[in-house]
Amino acid sequence: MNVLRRWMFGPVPQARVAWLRVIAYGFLPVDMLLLTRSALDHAELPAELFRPVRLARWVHLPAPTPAAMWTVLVVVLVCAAIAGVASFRDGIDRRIVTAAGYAAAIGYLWWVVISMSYGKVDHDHLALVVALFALPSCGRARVGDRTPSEAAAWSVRMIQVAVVAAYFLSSWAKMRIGGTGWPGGETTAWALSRRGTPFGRWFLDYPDLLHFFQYLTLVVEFSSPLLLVLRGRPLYAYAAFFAGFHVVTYAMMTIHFLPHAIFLTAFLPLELIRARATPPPAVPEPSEGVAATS
Amino acid sequence: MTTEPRGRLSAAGRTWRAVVLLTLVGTLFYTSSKGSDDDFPLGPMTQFAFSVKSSGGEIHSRWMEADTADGRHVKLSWDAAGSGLKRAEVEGQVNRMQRDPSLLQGIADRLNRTRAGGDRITRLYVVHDIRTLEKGKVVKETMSNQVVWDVR
Repeated sequence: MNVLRRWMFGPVPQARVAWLRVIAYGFLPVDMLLLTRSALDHAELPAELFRPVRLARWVHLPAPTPAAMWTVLVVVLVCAAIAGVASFRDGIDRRIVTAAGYAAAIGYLWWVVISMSYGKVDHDHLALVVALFALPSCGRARVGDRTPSEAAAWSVRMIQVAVVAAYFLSSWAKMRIGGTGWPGGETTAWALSRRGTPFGRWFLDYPDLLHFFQYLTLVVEFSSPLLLVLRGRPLYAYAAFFAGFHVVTYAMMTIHFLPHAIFLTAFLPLELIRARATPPPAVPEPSEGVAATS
Repeated sequence: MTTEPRGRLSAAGRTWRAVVLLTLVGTLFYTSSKGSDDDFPLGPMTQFAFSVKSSGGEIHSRWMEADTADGRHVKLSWDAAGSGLKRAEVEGQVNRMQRDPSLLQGIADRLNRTRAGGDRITRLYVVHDIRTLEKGKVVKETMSNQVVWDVR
């Protein structure tokens, strides 16, 4: 139990949460105005085309209207701005930061559920949704605040788990649906054929090379839980490797996975960005067996 | 929800957080074993999880095309900004559209909201393209209109 507790709550600086808030809330306009903008477009279609996913059915979410979705958009972006700005400014009440964070999370969940309720679900939003719900739980956090915090540690771990789950469970799904023959099949060729870039389509003439990529993908995805146990440079190198993986898939088939990929930063010591501005404070009295980790 | 003084969590604060994290992990493993895309945002990561045979495998693609009032035949955008549905969403609902082509009327209405005169859409098509593979390479391609709707 102590190992699990240490892993889940080993303190990290508040500044890391502050930077992750900047990343999450700063990304929301990009996501809502570019990647999931379809929520606005869907609102102009007849309700017969609305195919609500289970969560939408559970909460009886109605078919969207333009007025409703524009309202959600404005509320989420305003709340995100408040919660994001609080990473840089003193004087914003802790309760306002927390309330704005949760309002942004709930509003965004509504938005993205609408976006995914018209016949196709994207699989790159898990980390963003988890981050939006996890980040408000540790109150005020500023980018220069290096106070070690167990609450911050939990928020960071939640995001890390979501990132790793997306990779690991992706390989799990390949075995469940595609079977053990998946890496020897033509799934990548299928994707390149449908939406490959000129660079990506070049590989269509080399099926064996695509099979190699598929074996590599499977190995890398299955090994992704290492991100949760590695420390220091090996961890940063592995996170960078995954970032490179996304760059390659974007270059080949314009699949960027950005709402997920930006949270590879959750594995980095983001607090060092402003380290020179604020010297670290004395570490609070350690609890038994709990070591500060980063 | 928050911790005061900062740094250390109370036992209750640790407990609910541990429960939430373990529930998240448990839910994701459950949906990955038994679930479907319907479980979004905690559903299985099924992107590209299917397998396509190297020989005899097929690559299916669908998209929308349209006739305009002035006699042109145009390919519609694959993103939702045009028709209101992305290409993958059209593919996700194509069976419903085939059973009830009138579902395309709402898409035509949305398209015609920003079109006038000869530019107006008069007929919508969901085109179905099938590419057949042999040893990993495309050897045959067929195209057909899976759904056709005369706009009212």
